[in-house]
Amino acid sequence: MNHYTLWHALVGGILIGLASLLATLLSGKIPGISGVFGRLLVAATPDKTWRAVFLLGLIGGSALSFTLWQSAALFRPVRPFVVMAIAGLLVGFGTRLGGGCTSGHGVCGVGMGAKDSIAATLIFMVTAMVTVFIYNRVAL
Amino acid sequence: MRSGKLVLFFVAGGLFGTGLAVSGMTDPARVIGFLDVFGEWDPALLFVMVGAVGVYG
Repeated sequence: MNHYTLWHALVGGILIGLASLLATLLSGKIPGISGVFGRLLVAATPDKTWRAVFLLGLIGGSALSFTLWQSAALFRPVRPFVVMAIAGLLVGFGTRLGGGCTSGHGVCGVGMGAKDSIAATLIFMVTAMVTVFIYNRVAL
Repeated sequence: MRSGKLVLFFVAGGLFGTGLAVSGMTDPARVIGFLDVFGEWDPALLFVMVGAVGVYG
């Protein structure tokens, strides 16, 4: 399991799909990570407990995988930390504005065949590809 | 909320985190590799999406 292959990508994706399905059945909501986390930071959110527990599980599952599989522990920042911090802010702002992220729109919404989610996913993927093109090859 | 249900939420989160880590999506270079379509394109993120959408849908 130490040598990364596209099977890891596919199996990891299946696990993410199962996790999303389980969290949907339990919460009755679309469990996009940006929304689950974002609403945890809003004082008026009534159902904070499951959100916190779900995210703790997410961090725990990743941490356990990092210790078990060498390929999972690979972390190559490739951008200066200040750039990643700005990018994180933009992702947070954009996902709230767009009502979802890679998991909420990309996995759950696309999985359900929701047209707005398919549109959102295509738009943020293409925007991100253009951004990477400009960052890597044009501007910086 | 019942504690049994919270345990299941923890399990769901654990599965999600395991999926992210095993799929390599906790590595920024792999995500950027998928987005860098004019460079050495890395299809891994597409495989993750196919697996996840296939199960969820």
